[in-house]
Amino acid sequence: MANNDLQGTLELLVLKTLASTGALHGYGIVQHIQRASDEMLRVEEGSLYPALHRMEQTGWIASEWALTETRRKAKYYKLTPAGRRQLDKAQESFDQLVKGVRAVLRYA
Amino acid sequence: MGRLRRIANLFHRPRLDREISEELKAHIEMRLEENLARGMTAPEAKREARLQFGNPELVRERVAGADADLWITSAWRDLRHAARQLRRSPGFAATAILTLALGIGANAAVFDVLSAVLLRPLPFPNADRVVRVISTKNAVRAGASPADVRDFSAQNHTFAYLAVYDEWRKNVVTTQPHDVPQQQIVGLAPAALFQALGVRPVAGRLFRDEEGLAGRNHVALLTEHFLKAHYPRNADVLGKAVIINSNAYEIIGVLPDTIPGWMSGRGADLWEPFLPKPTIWDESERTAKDYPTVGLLKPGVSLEQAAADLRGIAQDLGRTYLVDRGWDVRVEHLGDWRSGSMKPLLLLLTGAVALILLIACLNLAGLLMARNSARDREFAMRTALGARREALVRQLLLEALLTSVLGAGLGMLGAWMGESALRARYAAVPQLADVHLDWRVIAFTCAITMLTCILCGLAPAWMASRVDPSEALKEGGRTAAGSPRQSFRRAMVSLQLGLSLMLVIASGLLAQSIFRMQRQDMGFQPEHLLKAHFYLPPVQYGSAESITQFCDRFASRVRSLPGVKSASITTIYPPNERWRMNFSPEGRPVARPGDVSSSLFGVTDAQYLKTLGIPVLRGRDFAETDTESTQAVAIVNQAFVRRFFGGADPVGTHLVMGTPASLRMPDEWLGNNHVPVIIVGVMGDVRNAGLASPVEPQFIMLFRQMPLVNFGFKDVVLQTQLKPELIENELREQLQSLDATLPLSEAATMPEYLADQTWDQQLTAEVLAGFAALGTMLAVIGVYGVISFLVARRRQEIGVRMALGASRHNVIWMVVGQGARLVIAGTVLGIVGTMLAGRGVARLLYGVRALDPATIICASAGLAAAAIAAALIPAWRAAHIQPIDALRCE
Repeated sequence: MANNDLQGTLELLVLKTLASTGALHGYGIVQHIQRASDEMLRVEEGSLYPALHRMEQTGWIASEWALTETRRKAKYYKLTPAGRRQLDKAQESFDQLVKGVRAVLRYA
Repeated sequence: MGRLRRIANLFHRPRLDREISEELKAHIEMRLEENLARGMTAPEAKREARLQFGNPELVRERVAGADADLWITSAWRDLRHAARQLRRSPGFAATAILTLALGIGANAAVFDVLSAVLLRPLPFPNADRVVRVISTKNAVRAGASPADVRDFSAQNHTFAYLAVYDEWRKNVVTTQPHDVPQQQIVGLAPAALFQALGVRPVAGRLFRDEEGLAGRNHVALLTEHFLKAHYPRNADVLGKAVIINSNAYEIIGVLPDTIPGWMSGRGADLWEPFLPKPTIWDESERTAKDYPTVGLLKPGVSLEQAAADLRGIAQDLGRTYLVDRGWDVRVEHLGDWRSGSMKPLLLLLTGAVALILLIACLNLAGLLMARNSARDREFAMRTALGARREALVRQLLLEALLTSVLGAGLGMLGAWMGESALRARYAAVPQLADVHLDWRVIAFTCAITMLTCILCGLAPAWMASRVDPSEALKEGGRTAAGSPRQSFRRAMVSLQLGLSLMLVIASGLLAQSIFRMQRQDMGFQPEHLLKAHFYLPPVQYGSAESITQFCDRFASRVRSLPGVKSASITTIYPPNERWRMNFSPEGRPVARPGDVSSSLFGVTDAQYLKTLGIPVLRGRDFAETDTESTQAVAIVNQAFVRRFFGGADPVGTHLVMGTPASLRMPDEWLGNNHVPVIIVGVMGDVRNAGLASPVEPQFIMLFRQMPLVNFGFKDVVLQTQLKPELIENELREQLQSLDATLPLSEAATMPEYLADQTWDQQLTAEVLAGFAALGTMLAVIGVYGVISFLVARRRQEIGVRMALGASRHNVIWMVVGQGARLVIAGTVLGIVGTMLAGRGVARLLYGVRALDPATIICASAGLAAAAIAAALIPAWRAAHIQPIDALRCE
């Protein structure tokens, strides 16, 4: 997962993660997705950071440097209002995609 | 906070890089911590973290790439890299920049002229509504007569202002101390002309309507140009007098220098109210339809509407006045007048210069490709290390862009210098006075620079990015991409050769054209002839007798000057004559105005034919015995005999000058008078309608025998072996010793004057020749490049051949053979191109066909020789390859 074809899906997951957990750094996002999907999804880390920076450019998330619990400096990301709107939209189109694929698979 | 930081980071790439590194490092270390917490050993933990993450460098680049803000800084980095690359190979850089400078600079210069002559808006407010009115009849285009314009002005609904105007050469002197009489071009115009053009006086006022009447018209407007030349700074000239043709005129205003020279033919420095003759508003003046007429349309009126409006009035006039019958009216934008005859030549130049740019771009593309093939390894390594194709292409495009911009800068500099030279050399042409760099030219140059960059850079960049790393990195490997690249380069060089051939042929044709025009037998002897002009104002020379007396006295003085073989006072000289006179054979009534014969005319003295070396073929020349009291005689030319006598001997025939009495139509020159004339001789044909047009019928008479047309305008033509400057001064002295108020003007030798007649073709020929030389040079360099590269690539093969017994000659033949193939392809392309463009060029040629075989063969042979010579150099080098060396070096 997480090659360019499913870039949109990665963004959806990131947005949802940040919506659920509040502010989080990149590593934390990876861990959350892994856990929340019961180890089924493993984010390719090489694609995560480019995606995060892209989303920051577009204005869906905002970044800030802060200290982790272990007193390490890390870049935390959080959702912006525009990002929240995008989350709803992306969720809707993903639902439609799944419905459509299911329908085709059931047909025959 | 985040956004501010990002913007601040824009200017600090290293810091941004550091941030990204930190972020990624933090990620890896957090995973490391987790691994340790899960119980892995330190080295295992580290390894696992790294593996999970992937290549940090790669990620970093991709993150940086995703960060759009950073695009600017990476472009800047690529640009610096490109600059460094150029500096490292100065030979390539110099060739490339120079090539582009020539191509782009030439385009900028030609576009500049185009802009000045065709595109730039006229210097008047409401320039789009300023129009010219033209009368046409049977394909003859003329202005309008003053009486016509008076009626148009009164009855039209579509014009805000309409004005007829004229320009005359007059003797002018100011009342400033130390000012000498000079001939000036004086414009005659009503206030409506300035109002139509939107020209407001910077001091004083315009003419009033009543000043256009006889007796009230001695008021004058000066231009700032005249003011600066004759008066001290800040002089108050209003109310002062200026002497025009020995009459005192009151200066009532000063005009800005807005009215361009081409509107009046040469550029008027002073203006007086429109009243060229006191009878100008009489019905007898309706015939003279050659006055320029300019107007300002009302807002929202189209050209067709205005033309239809005036046409209706013209048709009404045609019903009342015979002379106005059959004339149609056209209304055209004033701007169309500006380009006039230059248009076809300018378009030719534009085509040629575009070809040059194409050749230059092809050259540069070839150079870039050759250069890139040497950098194949560098690209291969970068691709193997993960550089993306777009990054490579972008870098190469930036290199091309840098070269283009530098070339464009140099080119503009060259164009600017060339312009000054152009303005200096062709100073007599008013349209070219306006040529200077403006925003349009700069925008155009930027556009073609971009185009050039894309043309040159894209193909090589594309090819470079498709390098296969495994192939290129092999030791001694030469890219297999040689094949498509090489055939592309070959095709380009052939194309260059073809385009250059077209330019060389065109230039050769045009040069021959001019040569033929100027060296043709014009019917007289132009060498050693000098001409000059003077004017006897009516105030002092009110009668035809006084004019004749003065001319006789002046002529005898001139003839007695040492070094003057013969001299003649005349009103005409070849090759451009325009004075026409109506006539009819005696005793043959003419029913309709359309049947009235007219031909070119002129009045001279008895020495005219002798001075110009025109032979008398039948009958006799004028003699001193033809005086005011004897029968008026005329001499006709051969064209006249052919047209009106069908070749029969005309000597002894009687003609009547003027419009036939039966028509009751006043003549333009003679009014209601009719002058009987007898033909006494036939002179040889002389070019009289321009250098490139067939000879028109013409007849000449003696001015002393035609008092009705014995005006003060006279020219003096003399034959002398002395230096022109010396004789000119002597002439002036003699003239002013008879009357100190008379200036001598327009002094020039006949060869100079004839050369001036073809200035536009001369300019084009010179420029085309320059382009042809340029194009050939570029194409030949291209051939050299391709063949050199070929030899370098096939070094091994050549070494093997020579080791196996091939002689030097064989090798040379082989290499030159490659060159010959290019030349043949190029020649074929060039000839095909010439055939396609032939019709367009044919219109500009004189005496030589567009597909003249001799020219084509010579041009092809010349170009082929140059190209083969260029191929010989690498061929010679190849023949001297030591087989051992070639085989050894992989």
